[in-house]
This record gives sequence, structure tokens and C-alpha cells, in this order.
Amino acid sequence: MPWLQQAFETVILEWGTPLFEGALVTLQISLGAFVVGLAIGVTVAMVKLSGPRVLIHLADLYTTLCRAIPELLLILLLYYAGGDLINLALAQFGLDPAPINGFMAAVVVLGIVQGAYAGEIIRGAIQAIPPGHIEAARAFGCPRLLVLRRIILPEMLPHALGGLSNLWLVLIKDSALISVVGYSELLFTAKQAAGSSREYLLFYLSVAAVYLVITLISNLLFSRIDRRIARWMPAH
Amino acid sequence: MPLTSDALPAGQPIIEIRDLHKRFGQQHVLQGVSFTASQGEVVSLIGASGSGKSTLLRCMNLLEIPDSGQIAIAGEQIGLQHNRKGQTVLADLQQVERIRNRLGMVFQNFNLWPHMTVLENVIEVPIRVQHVPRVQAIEQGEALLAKVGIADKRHSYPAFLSGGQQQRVAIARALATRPAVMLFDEPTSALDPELVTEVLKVIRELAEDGCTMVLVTHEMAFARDVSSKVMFLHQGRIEEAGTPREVFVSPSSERCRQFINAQLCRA
Repeated sequence: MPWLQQAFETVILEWGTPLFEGALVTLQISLGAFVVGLAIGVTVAMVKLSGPRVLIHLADLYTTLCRAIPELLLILLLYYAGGDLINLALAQFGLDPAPINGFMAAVVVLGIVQGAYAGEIIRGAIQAIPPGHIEAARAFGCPRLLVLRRIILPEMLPHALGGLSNLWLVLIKDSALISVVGYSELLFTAKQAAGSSREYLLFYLSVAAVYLVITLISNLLFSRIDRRIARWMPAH
Repeated sequence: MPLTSDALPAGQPIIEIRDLHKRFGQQHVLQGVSFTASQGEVVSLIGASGSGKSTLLRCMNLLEIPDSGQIAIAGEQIGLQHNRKGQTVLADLQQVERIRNRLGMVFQNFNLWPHMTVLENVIEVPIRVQHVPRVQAIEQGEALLAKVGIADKRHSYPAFLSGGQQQRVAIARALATRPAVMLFDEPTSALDPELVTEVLKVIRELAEDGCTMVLVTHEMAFARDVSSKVMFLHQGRIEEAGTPREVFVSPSSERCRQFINAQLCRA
């Protein structure tokens, strides 16, 4: 089958390295944004559950805005407006404008969007913990951060896992949105490859397959965590 | 290994409470309660539900913050202050955490941490809060689990244990912190009747070992047998207090007599 050989040569031999690098960037952006999103999410959840009223209103505003505005628009807003803001601040101190690091921008912007969704998932999951379990830790004199780290976070995980795994899968695909600001992740690389070789179908199908593989591997990892949880939470 | 910390001589007051008031909304749950428990004493709090006995116990380790009154644990006065809205709040959370660490609480619903094995539950506070070396904590934990008769389950998760077994683990978890006092909040009320005995047996052994305990209970016969002091609460006040003999055999309050007769007949 000569067409198969030709396709192999075009995708793997000519574009294999850039595509692989693009996939790596996609994974790095997604992982980074996921971690940022989780950190924001835990903070937002704790604030909403037991913070001072002013902070609760701020957290509400944040989750409402980030979930209301299209992610693509948010990315454009935060990337360009955020860049302007940083340079404005730099100018105030008499410093030269700095170029924005595309990778960091992608991680931060996607992380901020993720945090809004993660916050709601984690808040619900924490509320599903029987209050007595947290009270027991307090009754033994555990400091608050220890209670969070050793009791609240591990115990809310089974309740949050479904939502968080969904969020991760959506995030991998959302990371493609970052290509609008010209950062070359997987989809952006494929677009370039398709454009220069005129093999649109071939390249777009190939990256679709790559996204599929990443998703399948992710599912495998999540079901491993699920099985681990089932050791202490039977029939969950 | 001594079960409770041995810093205090026998007879020294460990918990001293003066004129405690607590409201939940319109309900005046504690209306000026004073209370003392000394080293080596077993104090039982009895009374109808809603009489305030659990609230009183939960004020001892500040899980409930009283509206007014004084609490001193092992001679240390707990700092309370009022915030701008006039609510009573803790003056110094670190002080309260330090004091809570000296009080071993056992709950009605066990409240074991489900994601930790039995042994992990027992060694968690000694290792993370008291900074006991891991090897030593495990050694002590296993000895305590053997004492409450559950050593063979040490690597099981709580969800796979019966209620009685879970409560015995909870007792071991509290003992592992080497508390000055053990606080029991209706430890057998959530158990199936056939599981009550195994838990009461463990508590009875602790009492015989000289462990200082405050016990909220509906088990009248048990309170009569193990206590050195019994207090009967009614509508947020201590209506009757004395030795088990005084309270159970010749109470001066009519309400106390009625309550005890009704309870003992039921059992």
C-alpha cells in the first residue's frame, strides 16, 4: 500500500519530531494548568466553606465570571490584557516592557479558568465528608493545615474524582485554544504541517488520534486511582 | 506504659468549669453549670436528651464555645474573648489546640478516618502532632490495639469493621495521644445492643486502671458501677451530683429519682 507508506513518511519522518514536541507541550500545559487549577480550586472551596464574607463574595465573583465568559475570549483577554497590565506596571517602575512567556501564560490562563470549575467540584466534595471526621481531628488538637492535608483532601477525593477527571479531559482539549495566541502546541503544529504539506485530512486525523490516545491513557490512570480508593471505600 | 499522662498527682483537679452558659439560638442549653473532675476520677454525666450533658462535654475541649463562664484544664485557664458582634470566640487557637491534644475524645459515631487503616488512625496524632518517632508510635499503637482486643484488624480499613470494633479502635486512637483525661460522648449509643458489652468492657478496664474519664452515657447500670462521681443534668443545670450511691440510691431531687427509676426499669 504505497499511500500508507507515503502517509507514514509525511507524518512520522518529516513531521514526527515537531508533532511529538507539540504533544509534549500540550501535556505540559495541561498538567501545569491542572495543578494551578487544583490549587486555586482548593483555595476557593475553603474560602467559600469557611472564609470571611468579603472573600466569599470575591470567590463567587471569580467563579461566576470564569464560568460565564467563553474560554477562548478569556484566553485572549487574559493574554493580551494581562500582558498590557504587566507592562503598564513595569513602566510605572521605569522598567522596559517584558515579552510574555507563552508557556507560562498558557498555564496561568487555563489554570485560572480550571480553578473556577475545580473550586465548585471540590466544595461539593468537601461537603460530602461527614463533619464528625473533621471534628475528630480538631478534637485531638490537629492544626488547620494538617486537617486539610491529612483528612479533608484525601477524604474528599472519592467525591471529587469523577468531576476532576472530566475537567482534566476537557482541559487537554482546551489547551488547543492556546494556539490562538500563537503558541505551538499539538494542534498548532498540526495546522502548520497540514498547511505546508497540503495534507489536511492526514494531519488532522493524526492529531485526533493523538488526543484519543492521551485520553485513553488518562482514563487508565483515573481508574487506577478509583481502585485504590475502593480499598477503603467499598462499593463507592 | 502508663495509659494517661502522669504529670499530675492524684486528686489534682484536671477539668474545672465555672458558671458555664451556652445558647443555641433561643435555646438556653447550659444555664450556669460548674463542674470539676480530678485526677483518677470517673465522672458520669446523665440526664434526658436535651439536658445539655453532651454540650457540657463538648465545651471541655472547646468543640463548643460557651457564651460565658470559665474553663481551666490542668490548671490552665482557656482564653475566651468577644468579637465585634458580641460572640464569644477563642482568644488563642494555638493554646486551645495544645489543650485539646491533652484530652482524648471518643464520639458517639466513632468518627474514625475512613481512608486510614486501623493502625494509621491510631498513630496519626502521635506522629503528626506530638512528633513521636514512627517506630515508637507503631509499637505503642499496636500495644493499645491489643489492649482493646483488636490487634488482628490493625491493617483493615474502618469500613470493614463492626460498630463495636470501630468504637474500640476509636478508644485506642484517643489513648494513643496519652491524654490527661478521656472524654466519652455517648460511646455506646450508636451501637447494636449485642455490641455494647464489648465496648463497655474496655471502658470499665480503663476505669480500673485509674484513667481519668468524663463519660456522657445512657447506660445507668454502667454509670453506677464504674463512676466515682455522677452528675444528673436537667434543663441545662446540674440537678443532682454525688457518689453513685447518693445519686442512684438516695437522690434528693424528685426529677432525678424519676429519671433513674425510668431508665433502670427500661434496662
